[in-house]
Amino acid sequence: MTERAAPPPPPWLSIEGVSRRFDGVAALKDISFALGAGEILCLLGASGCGKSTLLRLIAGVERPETGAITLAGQVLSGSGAFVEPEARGIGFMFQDYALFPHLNVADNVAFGLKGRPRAEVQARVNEVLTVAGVAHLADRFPHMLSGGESQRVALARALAPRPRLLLMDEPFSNLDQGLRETVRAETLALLRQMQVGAIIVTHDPSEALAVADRLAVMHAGQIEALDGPRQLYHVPPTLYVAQFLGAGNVVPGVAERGQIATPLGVFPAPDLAQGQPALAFFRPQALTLCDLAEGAAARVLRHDFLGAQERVFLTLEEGGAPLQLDLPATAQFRLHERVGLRLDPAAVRVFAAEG
Amino acid sequence: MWNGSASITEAVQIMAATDLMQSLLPRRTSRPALGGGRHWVWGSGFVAALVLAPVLALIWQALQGSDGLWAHLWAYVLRPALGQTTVLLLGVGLIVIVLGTALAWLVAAHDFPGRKVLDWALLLPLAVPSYIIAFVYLELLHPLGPVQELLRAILGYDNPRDFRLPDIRSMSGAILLLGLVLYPYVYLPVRAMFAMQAAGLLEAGRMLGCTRTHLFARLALPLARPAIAVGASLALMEALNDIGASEFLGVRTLTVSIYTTWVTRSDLPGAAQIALVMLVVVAALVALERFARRKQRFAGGAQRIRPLLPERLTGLRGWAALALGALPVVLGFGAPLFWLLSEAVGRIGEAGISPQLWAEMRATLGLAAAATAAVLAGGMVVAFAARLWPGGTTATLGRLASLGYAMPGTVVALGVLVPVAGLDRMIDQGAQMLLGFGTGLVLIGSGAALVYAYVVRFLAMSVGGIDSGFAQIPRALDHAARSLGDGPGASLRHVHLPLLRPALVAAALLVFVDTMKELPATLLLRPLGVETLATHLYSEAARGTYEDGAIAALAIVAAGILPVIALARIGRRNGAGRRP
Repeated sequence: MTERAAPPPPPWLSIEGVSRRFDGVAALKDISFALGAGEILCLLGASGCGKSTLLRLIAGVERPETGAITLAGQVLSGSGAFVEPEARGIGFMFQDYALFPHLNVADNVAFGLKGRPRAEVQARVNEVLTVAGVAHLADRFPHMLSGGESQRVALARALAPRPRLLLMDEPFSNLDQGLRETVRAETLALLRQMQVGAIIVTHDPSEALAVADRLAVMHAGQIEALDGPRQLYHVPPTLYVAQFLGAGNVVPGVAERGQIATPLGVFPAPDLAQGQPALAFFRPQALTLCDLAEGAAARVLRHDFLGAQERVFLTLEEGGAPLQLDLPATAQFRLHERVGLRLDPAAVRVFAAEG
Repeated sequence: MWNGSASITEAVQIMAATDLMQSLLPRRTSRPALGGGRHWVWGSGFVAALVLAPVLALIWQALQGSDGLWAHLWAYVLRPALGQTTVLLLGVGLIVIVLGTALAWLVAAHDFPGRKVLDWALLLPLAVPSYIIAFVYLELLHPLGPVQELLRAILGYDNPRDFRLPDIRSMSGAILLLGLVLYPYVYLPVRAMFAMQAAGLLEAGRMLGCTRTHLFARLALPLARPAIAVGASLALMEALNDIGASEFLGVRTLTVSIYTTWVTRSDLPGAAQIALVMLVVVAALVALERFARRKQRFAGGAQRIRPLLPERLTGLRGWAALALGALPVVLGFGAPLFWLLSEAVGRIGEAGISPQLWAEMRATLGLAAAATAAVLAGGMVVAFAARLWPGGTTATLGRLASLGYAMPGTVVALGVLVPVAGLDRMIDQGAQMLLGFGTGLVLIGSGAALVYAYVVRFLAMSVGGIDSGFAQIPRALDHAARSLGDGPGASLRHVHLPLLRPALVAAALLVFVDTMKELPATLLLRPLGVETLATHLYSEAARGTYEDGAIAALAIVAAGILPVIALARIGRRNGAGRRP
């Protein structure tokens, strides 16, 4: 259920104490993390959390106010040094792809290869276009491309100069749902094949969980948590991370003698002070139905058919906010039925209640 | 002049018509027409016919001339005028493109002291009509004027015969002065392009290894090409429309030739023939603009608006950038305004404001108000018809109704004169038969003919402005109003008009100010004995007397500043993109 946190890879990119403000408002506060070579990191957060700004700082199109950014031992910015974006060897993929409208696909891809012999440029362009599966579009202009084609061309263009690192700003958000997952899988396979490390900004938790080696959840200009996706999903360090990454239930309680008591059981809370209000958090799948005698009594409020499963909403007879749990679509239950609820205590995380 | 054409708004409206700006706007989903209100489409057809009538009349009139006259006209008037016009357009085109693009790049891609102010101040020369800048510089640079006096004092000459600058009354003088007030037509769209669309693309270029120095030539310039084409063609239409500056400066352009052929030689068919040649030149300009933007369909409506990260110029380089950028503002706006102010203050102190000038102001405002009302009404009919019945027919009618923006004022005036004079004769004869007395030339005499010309000339502004106002109103509101029992007319009153108010106010402001500044059509069609501020200035400059001229010019420039401020604010709103 839980994975062991992977040993931190030797740093390839390292960010230390980076801050940035816009018009006096802090967009990034003292950000630090490291990225291993070939690693794929997702920056996940709600809009306005600073994730795009962080990406632009690494790319060099914004300057940090404090802190240092180092790539492969070279200081990109910090302590007076600043490497211009064109000299960083970092590829960037824009959310809107930013294909040059006056150049055809081949010339777009060749743009980053300036200064090399013509034959070499030609060969590299053909190579990346072929790998990206868009070689047949070489003569088209950007306005003649579909969304998926534009995305592949943008990827090919970013990879053509063999970047040391690829930054991707919401690279799949302009694609339709069905196409998105295909393109995402292809893109990831391509990155692994070329052994290019990447930082992918996204606001979609399921996307981040699916693609990331490690995942950084950002909130209000700070990194709230950074770890493997399974670890963060199952053992979230904060309530924000827990709720951002997926559906969950929250049951209130009060800390007494190192634990909190709730209608669904008593859970350890060793870090909380005596009498401090607390919240027990658990995913829907941690709840199961049982005989009334064996669990807490609850009533079925409503249920949403999700296809593969049924999401059931219940209220405890002792009151409180509705709880959700997932049952197989074949499960038998009735609306307003009284049922017993059992909670797997290993799946419960206890947080101090804020405010 | 300026006036006519262009106004800035027009510039914006026409830009909005180009793919360039459209790619920035959310795609409009086409929905089936709601139906009803068919008569609005007929109204739109009527308005379009009103605009087309002068062109047809012009062709008819041109065919009246005899062959012998044509040969004479060609050899002695048309060929030299065509040559002079070509040289003027080439020169002005070069200046506005270089100046407009360079200034846009300076302000968009660099940061230096005073950049924010310069950003909008560079639009200010738009407020100075070409005939006023010529009027001012004729005085300023006169051999006995302040500039040359000062130069002689500095250099130690005491006689104008020993030292004088080259005469401003020349082709190069006209090119420089027109370029000085027309460059904002290029600056504005190119600046918008850099600010709104290019930022992401330029960043992409840098991250693909393109250095700042190469960025301009490799990316910015090719990207700006469509915007440059739009802006330059607008500026050249203004230059073509100009009558005052060319005439004061001794350049015999086509516009000046139309005026003299008609007014001095009373050769209406000859003037009409020159006017047709002028329309050919306009068509060539439009074709050139289309060619320059070929294949430039900008992809992707999803571009996020993001400011360009400017390169900081510090110390001496920063101040040099400011000085360089401020120079066009000082020459094209600051110096003329300062001179007009000091002259006007002196004149008012000496003689007050003459009753004649008051009468001219009343006439100017009255004509402008009448024209504004008519232009808005016509624009509303055309735009609402397109709203009710979206599709090819109403779109074509809208384009026809907007044709006037490309027609120089003299051409419009000439085209309007023929049918209106015919109508006047009919009314006169009818009145004589029925009432026993003649009405004279009631349409021309009352100023109705002039207002008609203004409508033809400026309708594009209101059609464009109201159209984009409609585009802001979700179609769901139309459906809601109709499903709640409003017919087309009632929904216009209850839903659209209140929501269109900002667009209507903006269009009204533009039309009003442009009408105030209009010179060529006003000169040709004003009722006998009526002078406006612009024609007053023209006749003083033509006579070489400078009495109330400065006050009249100051009033026109002051009015002209209003839309520039509005424009600068729009630009700021669009340019200042929020960061993600």
